[in-house]
Amino acid sequence: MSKYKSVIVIIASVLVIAGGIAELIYIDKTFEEFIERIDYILAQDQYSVEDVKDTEEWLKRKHKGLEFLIPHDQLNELSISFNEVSGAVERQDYEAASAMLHRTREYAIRLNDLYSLRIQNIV
Amino acid sequence: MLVVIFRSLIILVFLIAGMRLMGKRTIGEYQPFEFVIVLAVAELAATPMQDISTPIIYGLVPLITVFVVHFILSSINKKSIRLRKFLNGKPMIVIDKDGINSQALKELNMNTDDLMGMLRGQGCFSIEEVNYAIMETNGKLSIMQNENAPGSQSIPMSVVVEGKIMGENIKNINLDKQKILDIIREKNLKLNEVLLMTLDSKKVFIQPINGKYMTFEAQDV
Repeated sequence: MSKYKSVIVIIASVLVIAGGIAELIYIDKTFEEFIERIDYILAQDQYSVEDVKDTEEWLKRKHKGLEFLIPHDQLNELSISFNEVSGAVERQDYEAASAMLHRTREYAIRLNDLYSLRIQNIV
Repeated sequence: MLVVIFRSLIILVFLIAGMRLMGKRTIGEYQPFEFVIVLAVAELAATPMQDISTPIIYGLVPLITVFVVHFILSSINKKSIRLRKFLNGKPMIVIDKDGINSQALKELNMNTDDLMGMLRGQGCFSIEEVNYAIMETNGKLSIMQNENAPGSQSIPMSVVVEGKIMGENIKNINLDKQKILDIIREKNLKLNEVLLMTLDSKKVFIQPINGKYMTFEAQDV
């Protein structure tokens, strides 16, 4: 029985550690890509509706996966924030869109930091 | 609502598996570090069951971690006496041939009432009935009974506990405070040197803080 218990404990430990590493990588890559997409949009003089809609769709898909890893309230805040950007760009209100994009970008950076393996998050 | 049911079921499955991994001990038999783990597990399991905005892994991963740590510590415990002593403490003799070991009680953060209560729980109503009592690391009291001890006539009444006179108790047996002080003085003791003094009909039991206990028949009580 003790042997089986040891095997279970080893498997559980490996799964938790491997899952933790995979989670870190997945969250980091997702947010990095999101920030890159925002930077690409911000670099343009007039924000393209297509680029914004494309990122919005991309975020919707990622949102579902991230829901397994990140508390939903924080994810919802991110999605709603980007949807506001989308609305502003559609109205061609680029000033408002720029402010919202910067806000969303900063929020994504903060979220990524929050779920990364940093001493500040441990202590 | 269904979401909460499913989440609760998932967490329960993990909890049961984890508790099975901990072994077949009951709560009263847990060592201090196991008790800490049980307390932590209870708290960890409750929140993710009901908070549906938090991914369930936030409940499962700490649970698995705690159970794995418990398994590792238990495995090392089996081999290392030093770690066992560090995590669980060591059994302590609280009653020996001299009576109550007040130093041991102090180290265990126990008082005389706690000890007397535990003794009564074991069916012993006076210190004389016990040769040795050992406080085990799981918080249980093991006793070696004194076969030659004279049986009690009634339940011994505590009249002095840790240097303080039990006003209500002496009122119940119609005894005045001065009589208690006189008995103590007769034995060349001061009130604050008495750890426990009990009366059983005319039989007096005095356990000084330092030294062997004494029993004698008292007049006019």
